[in-house]
Amino acid sequence: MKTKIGVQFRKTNKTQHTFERLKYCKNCHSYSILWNEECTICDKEETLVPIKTISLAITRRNVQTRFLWIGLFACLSAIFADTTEKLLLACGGGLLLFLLFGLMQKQYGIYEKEYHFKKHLKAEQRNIKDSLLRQLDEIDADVQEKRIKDAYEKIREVGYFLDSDLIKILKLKYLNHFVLRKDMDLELDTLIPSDYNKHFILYLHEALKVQPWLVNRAVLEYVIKYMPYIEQRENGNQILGQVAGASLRVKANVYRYQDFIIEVIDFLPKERVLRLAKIVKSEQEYDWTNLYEATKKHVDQHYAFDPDFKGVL
Amino acid sequence: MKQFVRKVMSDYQTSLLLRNILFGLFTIALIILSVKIGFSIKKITLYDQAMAYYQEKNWVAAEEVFAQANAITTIRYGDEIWNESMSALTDTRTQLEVLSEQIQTGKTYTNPELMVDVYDSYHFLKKGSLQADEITSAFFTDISNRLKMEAELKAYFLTGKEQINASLQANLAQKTYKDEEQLILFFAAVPAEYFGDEKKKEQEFVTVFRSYDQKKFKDIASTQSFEDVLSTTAKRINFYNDQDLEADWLPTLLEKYARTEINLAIQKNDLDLFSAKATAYRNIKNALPSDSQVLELIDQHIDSQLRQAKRYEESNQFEKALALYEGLRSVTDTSELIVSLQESWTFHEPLRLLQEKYPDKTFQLVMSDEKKWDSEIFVAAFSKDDQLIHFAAKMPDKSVVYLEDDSFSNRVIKNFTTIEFPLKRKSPIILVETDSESRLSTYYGFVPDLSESKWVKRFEIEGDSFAIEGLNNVVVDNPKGTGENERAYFNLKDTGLEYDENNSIPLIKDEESLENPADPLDNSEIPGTEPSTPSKDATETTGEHASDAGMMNVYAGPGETFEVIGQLAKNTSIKKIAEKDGWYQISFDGKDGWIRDTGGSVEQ
Ligand SMILES: [Zn+2]
Repeated sequence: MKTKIGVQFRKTNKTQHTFERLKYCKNCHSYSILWNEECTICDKEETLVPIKTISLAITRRNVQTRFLWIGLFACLSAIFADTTEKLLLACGGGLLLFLLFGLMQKQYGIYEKEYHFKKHLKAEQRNIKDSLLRQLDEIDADVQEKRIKDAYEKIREVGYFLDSDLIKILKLKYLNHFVLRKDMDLELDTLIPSDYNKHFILYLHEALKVQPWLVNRAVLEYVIKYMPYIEQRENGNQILGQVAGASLRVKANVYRYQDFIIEVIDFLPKERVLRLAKIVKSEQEYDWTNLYEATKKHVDQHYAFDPDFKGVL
Repeated sequence: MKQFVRKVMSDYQTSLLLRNILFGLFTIALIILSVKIGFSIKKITLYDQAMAYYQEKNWVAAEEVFAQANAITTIRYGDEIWNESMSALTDTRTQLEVLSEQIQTGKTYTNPELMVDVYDSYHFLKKGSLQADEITSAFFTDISNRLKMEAELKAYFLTGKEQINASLQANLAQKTYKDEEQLILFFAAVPAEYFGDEKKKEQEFVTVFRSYDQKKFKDIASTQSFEDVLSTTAKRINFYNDQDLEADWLPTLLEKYARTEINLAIQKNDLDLFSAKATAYRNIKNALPSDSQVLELIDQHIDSQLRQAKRYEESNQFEKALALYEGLRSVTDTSELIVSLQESWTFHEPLRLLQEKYPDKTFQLVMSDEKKWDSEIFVAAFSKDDQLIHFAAKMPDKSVVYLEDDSFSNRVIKNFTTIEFPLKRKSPIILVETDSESRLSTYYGFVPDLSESKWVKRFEIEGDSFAIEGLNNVVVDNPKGTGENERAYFNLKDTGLEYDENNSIPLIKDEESLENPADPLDNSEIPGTEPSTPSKDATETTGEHASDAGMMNVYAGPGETFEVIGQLAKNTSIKKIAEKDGWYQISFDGKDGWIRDTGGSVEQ
C-alpha cells in the first residue's frame, strides 16, 4: 500500500451550465476548461474569453455585417444612379431598408443569439473535444511527473464534460493517493462507475470516514447492486456498515433501503444502531415493521444492558 | 470551403474580417457617393444658373455656365432638347477657341497655310452659324468679337502682304532672290477680301510681280549664262502655271531675250553657239507660248543652213557641207544626210576609201572606176610609203573590201592601170608594170576576188611593150620565152597567156619600134590595137576623141568607153543635170547624155 499524501484541493467553480466552463483563446482557437485566465498553449499572454461571450460577439458582428451589406448596396445603387430621380430613390430606399432591418433586429435579435449559440456550440464540438483530449494528454504527463494533485484537479474539470467510466476510474485512482479530510471538497455520486470497481469501493470507504453525508440514493443503489462483491472484500462488511450507517441520515432513505439496513445491521457501529433505534421508535408514520423488529432484536441481543439504549425502544 | 476556412480561421476571426472588409467597402462607397452627390448638387446649381442667364437672353454667360455644368458627368439633368441646343453652342465656342489658338500659333510669317486654313474654317463656321437660328447667330458674333478673330486675321494678312512686298524689295536690292515661291504662294493664299475683291487681287498680283520679275530678269540676263537664265525663268513660268497664276510677262521677256541672243549667234555665223542656244531654248519648250517666234526663228535658221549644206554638196564642196551637217546634228537629225553625203563624196573622190583606212599614207598612181567586179566603186593606188598597191572596193551592201599586194616588193613599180576586154568590160584586169631584168618591163595581170578578199593572178610576162587587141588578144613585143623577138600574140585564158603562133610576127630591129619604150601603153604606138584606155585613171588622160575640133562627143555614160550617142557644138550653152568624175550629165535629144568637163560651156 502506497503512502498517502496530504493535499489541499483547489476550489472548483460551480456553474449553472457546463458550457460556462469553456474558455476560448482568440489566438490559437483552442478551448480551455481549467481555472487559468490565460492561454497555456500559445506563448502569447492571451486572455481567455468565455465561449458565450465569443458567440455573442460573432452574432453581433454578423448583424453588423448585414447592416453593412445593406448600406453598401444602397450606396452602390445610388452611385450608379444616372438621374436625380434614381439617386433619390436609391438613397431613400437604402435608408428605409436600414430602418426596417434595425427594427427587425431589435425585435428578434435575442432569439438569434440563442439560436446562434447552439449552432456555434455544435460547430465547435470537434474543437472542444480536441481540447479535452489534449487536456487528457496533459494529465497523463502530470501523472508521469507524479503531480497527482494537478492531475486530479484537471481531470475533475474534464469530468464535467465527459461522463465515462474511464474518467471516473482515473479520478478514483488519483483520489486514492490522497489523505481525505473533512474540510475537503469531495465528490462521490459523480464517481459511480457503470460496473463494479474496486477503486470506487476503496474511495467510498475512505470518503465515508470523513464525509458520510456524501451517501445518497445513487451510492446506495450501487452498493446494494454489488453487495456480494463488497462482502467478499477484506473489510467489506465494515464498508457495508459504513454505507448503511450513512444512509440513516435521511429518513426517506431508511425507509426505502430498510431491507439493506436489516441485512447489514450486524455491521453497524453502536452509535449508528442507536440512531437507527431512535428513528424507528420516533417515526411511526412509516411502515417499517420489519426494520423495527430487526432493530429491536439486534439491540436486545447486543445492547440489552447498555444504559444508552435504556428507554429507547 | 467553409471547412477549409474554419481550418485556417475561426468563426470569430472570419466574422471580424468579413465585417471589417465590408466596413471598408462601405466607407469607400459612402465617400464616392458623397462626392457624387456633391458634384450633382453643383451641376444642378450651375444648370439652373445657366437657365436663368438664358431667360435673360445672355447667351454667352448661359453657354459658359452650361458648359461647366455639362462638364460634370456624375448625373444627367435637365431638358434634353435644351441641352442639345446649348451643347451646339458649346461646340461653336470650342471651335472658335481652337481657331483662335491656331491664329496665335500661326502668327509667324512662316506658316501661312495654317492661317489660310483657319481663315477658311472660320468663314465656313461663320456661314453655318449665321444661317442658323437667331441665338446661334448672336452667340457666334459675340464670341467671335470677344476673341477678336476677324481683326486678328485681317491684321495677320495685311501684315503678311506688307512683308511680301518688303521681302521682294529686299531681294531686288540684294539680288539674292530668296523664298520667291513661298512669297508667291503666300500672296496667292491671302484671301481676296483683304485686297478688296478678286479682281483687285489679280491686278495687285500683276502689278507687284510683273515689276519684280522684270527687274529680276534684267539683272540675271546681264549676269548669268543663257542656259541659267532660261532654266531659272522657265522654272518660274512653270511654277506660275502650276499655281494657275496668269503671268504672261515672263514668256514675253524670255522670247525677247532669246531672240536677241540667238540672232547674235546667227550673225556671228557661229553654228555651235547657235546649236547650243537653240537646244537650250527648245528644252524649255513647255514653258513657252505655243506660237513661240523664237522657236520658229530657230527652225527657219536650221532650214536655211540645211539648204546651204545641200548647195555645198551639189557643188562638190563636201567638207563644208559636212561641217554644216555636223554642226546641226544637235538641233536636227542629219545622220541620214551625212550618210548620203559621205556616199556622194566617196563616188566623187574614191581615194577617200583608202585615205580613211590609211590616213597616214600618201598615194599616187590612183585609179578608180564604177561597177566593176560587182563593186559599186573601186579605187587602187600605189603608196610609196610601203611600196604596195592598195585596193578598196565599195560593195552594193555598203561594205568596203580592202586588198593589198606585196608581190612586187622587189620590183620598182612603174605604172599600173586596168585593161578591159570588149566582152568583159565588167571585170577588167589590173595591169601592173614593173622593171625587168631582161626586157623593158614586166607585166602582171591581176583580178580581185572580192567575195574572197584576195588577188587572183592572171598572168605575168616580161616584154618591151604590152597591148590588147581584138576580143581577148594580148600583144607583147619581144616577150621573154616563147615568142621572143616577135610581136607576139597571146590569147588570155583562165590559166594565163597562151601563145598564138599564127598571128605573131617577127620584130624588125629598128629605132622606130623602140621610139618610146617608156610609154608602152600608148595606143598610138601599137599599130592595129583598138583604143582601150581605162575609163578613168590618175595618169594624164589625153586625147579629144571628137572627130571635129569644133564639136564634142556626147556619150551614153560618164566615160569615153560608153557609146557615142551624138555630137554637140563646143560653145553650146546647156543645162547641167548632174556631175560625176569630171563629166556632166546633160539632156540631149530628150535622152540623158554625158559630156567631158571642158570648162565654161555648161551652166552650173
Ligand atoms: Zn491560445
